[in-house]
Amino acid sequence: MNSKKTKQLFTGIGFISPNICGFLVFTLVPLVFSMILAFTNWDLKLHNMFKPENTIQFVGFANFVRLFKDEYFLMYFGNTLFFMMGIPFGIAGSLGAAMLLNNNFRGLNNRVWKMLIVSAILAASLAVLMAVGLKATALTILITTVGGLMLIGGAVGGSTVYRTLFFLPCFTSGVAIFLLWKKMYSPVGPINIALAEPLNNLSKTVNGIEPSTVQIGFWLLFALMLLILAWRFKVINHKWRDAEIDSMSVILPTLFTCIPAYFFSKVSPVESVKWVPLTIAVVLLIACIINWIIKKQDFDSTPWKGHGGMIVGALVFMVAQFICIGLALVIYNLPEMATNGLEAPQWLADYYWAKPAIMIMSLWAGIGSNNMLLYLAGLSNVPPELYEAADIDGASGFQRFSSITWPQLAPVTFFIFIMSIMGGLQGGFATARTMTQGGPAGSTTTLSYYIYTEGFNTGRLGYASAIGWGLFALVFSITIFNWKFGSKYVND
Amino acid sequence: MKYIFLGALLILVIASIFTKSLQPDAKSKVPVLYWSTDPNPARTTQIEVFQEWLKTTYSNEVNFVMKVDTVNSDNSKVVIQGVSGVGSDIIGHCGGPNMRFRQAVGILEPITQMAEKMGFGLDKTFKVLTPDLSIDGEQYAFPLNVTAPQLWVNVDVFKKLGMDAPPSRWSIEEFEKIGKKLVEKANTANVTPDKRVFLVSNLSPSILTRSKGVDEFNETLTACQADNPTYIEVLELIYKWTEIDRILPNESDRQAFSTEAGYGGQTYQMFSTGNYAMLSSGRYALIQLREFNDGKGMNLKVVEFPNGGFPNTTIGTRAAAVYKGGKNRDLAYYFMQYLASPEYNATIIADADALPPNPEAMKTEKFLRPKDHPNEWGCHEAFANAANNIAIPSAFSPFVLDNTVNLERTRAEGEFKAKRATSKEAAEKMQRRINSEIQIFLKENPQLMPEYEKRLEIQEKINQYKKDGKKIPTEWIYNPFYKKYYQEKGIIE
Repeated sequence: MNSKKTKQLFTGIGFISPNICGFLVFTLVPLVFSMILAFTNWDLKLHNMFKPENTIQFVGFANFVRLFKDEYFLMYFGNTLFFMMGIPFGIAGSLGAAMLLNNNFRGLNNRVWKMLIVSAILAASLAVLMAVGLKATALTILITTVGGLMLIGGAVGGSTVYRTLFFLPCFTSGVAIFLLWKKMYSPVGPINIALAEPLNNLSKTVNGIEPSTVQIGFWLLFALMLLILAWRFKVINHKWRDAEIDSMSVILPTLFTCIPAYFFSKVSPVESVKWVPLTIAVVLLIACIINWIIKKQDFDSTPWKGHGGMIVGALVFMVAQFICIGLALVIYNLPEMATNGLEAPQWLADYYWAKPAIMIMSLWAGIGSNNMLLYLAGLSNVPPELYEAADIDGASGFQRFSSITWPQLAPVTFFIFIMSIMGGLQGGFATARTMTQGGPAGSTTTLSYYIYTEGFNTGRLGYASAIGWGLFALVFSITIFNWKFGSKYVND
Repeated sequence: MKYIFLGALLILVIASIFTKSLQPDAKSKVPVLYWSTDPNPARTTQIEVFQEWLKTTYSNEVNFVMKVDTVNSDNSKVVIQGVSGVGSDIIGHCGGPNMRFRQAVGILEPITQMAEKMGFGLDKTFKVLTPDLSIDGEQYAFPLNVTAPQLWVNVDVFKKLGMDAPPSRWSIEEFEKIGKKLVEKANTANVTPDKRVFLVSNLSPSILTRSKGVDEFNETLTACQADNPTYIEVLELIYKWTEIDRILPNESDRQAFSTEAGYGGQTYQMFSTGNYAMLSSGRYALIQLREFNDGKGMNLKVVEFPNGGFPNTTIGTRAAAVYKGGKNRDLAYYFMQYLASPEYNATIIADADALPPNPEAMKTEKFLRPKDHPNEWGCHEAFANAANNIAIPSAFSPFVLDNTVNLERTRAEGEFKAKRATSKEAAEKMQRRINSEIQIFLKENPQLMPEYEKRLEIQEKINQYKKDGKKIPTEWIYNPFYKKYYQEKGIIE
């Protein structure tokens, strides 16, 4: 190597050395160290610079064995998974935002007229809200003012203004956002003030109707849930027959489809129908299996073909069924709940509302996140000639989306999905620490917050590291699963 | 580019050196010591008086500067900084649990010898605080102040509603009756959450359970016994008062009061505005209460917690300890000596930062009837009486750390409040979890096993004696609550 090259090499190393040093000191070394720790009995109370007589001992897999017996680990893992149910909504929101922001709003073109129509709808909605009880409070004025400013800003500055506004939560400090939402969720905060009168009117209305009439809503949602279930089986069957999916690709999605039916059997307020969805699911499943045994696929399919798409579809349908169940339960119990008047939720102070409250906040923050930027970049890479061809063929807006946009964005979606799953499993620490301290009754404690409390409340660093590596094993397994089947979905 | 890079590096180095030069230790010609403590406004005066005291007592023989560090007083920060060798010279901690955890970690310097030599031994403070300040006969801390919480009464709230303030000593039944009457009179049907009035800010289940003759630990501190009818009954009672009678605020009610300003947070503000007719706190509440009403103070009274037959309260201390890894430990002892001095006790009396470390100081006129605060006369005496007569320290089992016990207690009570468990299930879970933590702790500290086994044998004997109705020898009882309770009931020899 000549002196010029050597000089260039050292210059290059000099440039990257701060980053490399930072990575080594703050990431790689602690990572390796924590892995070693997970197999030791290191306890701050026993092993530190003031207790040289105690030596740290290797305990093999003892910490991991304890992990599986730890009731709190399982509970907090459940919490973490619950929070992750918000990921699909966040992704959908980011995609929606990106598609909106991919348009140019500058000047008085057609789109701006559409925006003005949307703003008129917004104003009408506010009028309706005011009519049902939302007074002309500062909140109303604030919403209208902000909405108006955004529209004017968009018309003048184009989509850049909107992109900046949407991206705002991403570069605002997390703690500031959490404190803001904590105030929003206060029992006398803007959300509950806005809900108070509409809920009051709703309870008056419900109290004026026969409970059985109100509960018709329960039966309608119950029927809708059954329809979704049946339709899902129909889709699976058709896709299998058309060889869009392989036989192996049917197993897991079918199981996912049946989970809400099983859940309904546990929570149904009407004893006589509690087993109906599960029975229908089992009957449909048996019918499908018989059909698959008797008949053959119309074409040949490759092993695991269509598996990724089926899983995504199954998750979407599963969430849809859960929404039906949730709403059905609320409507069924509405007459009883309304007897003494409906009150706005206690949000962060209520065991059952704390998780959804945090999920709503995360959804708000997630829509305008890096995911939106990734989608925006992805959208700019979609070849325009595909849309031109679709226009010539007379494709509708939905067809343009389902046949061009969505498939073209599949690699981006896959990347976002993997990153969101990883982030979701590791997340929740800052939220719990700032907003709820993990409560009420541990309902918002996630695994990352549990690692902190175990490590620093009890001093058992060995065990805390084992929880950390247990979490890593989960993240790793799910990521492998995603790569295995998700990449097929992208390629399909 | 490389010159920009090198320039940036150079600027960063210079900025770092400049920042370092601004640190008090770098600028000062004498050693600078740090005291990690809570952000209590009274600390400033306490430090100023200390510097004066040091000058007066030691003229120029001993010279150093003490600085208050309020950002590193969080338990995890203290422990992590401590085991990393960079802890504050004086570590302030709140109560026995913190002291015991930090002692278990090994970051506290044993001070028995120096305390004896310099006059800040255990004999200079309340005898009942021994478990909060020492372990196995070795002293590790000395009180900054002492707290025996009572109920502060905002007399005007009762007056406004045409009611008499509660009596100094009252039963659980009286408490409930007065509470129901007050909230009924004060709150209209459509009262908004931020305007609602409650009888009292909060109540400790532990004090109520003790008032019915039961503690969560057994006599020898070898096992948790939360799964008993009394504790379960108290959990149910507090739930009823919170969610049904609405005498006490729940978490949502607290969140509805959006104010958080000032020392002590929202609770004191709510007490001053009348949202809480009573406040569960120590004498230190006066630091903030004196600020209200344009500095004129409030119309106050102090009463005991309601009792189920055995009036009691806890007693605890915010104490100071010397960091074992400190470079200036020899100087830190002077600060500990100052805490036992009349000057420091006078400071505590004047600024109302709880009770002074020395019980003798509570007999002075300045303590009992402060000239500038006639509205408080009678209140100080009530706190002194509580500390001297009915206060019992917490029961610290040597076989489990108290912060672990607190964590399990919070989890179990939280599950009950959220209706995730019945009171019986919550109590049973708390007992099971704490007893399993005791076994883990013994496994980690096998040297404690002989003592544990010895106490188990004693516990069996105690159980037999209780069954037979025989008097129990005093030396068998390790739990301070049972020692006092049995003494008053004549159950021990």
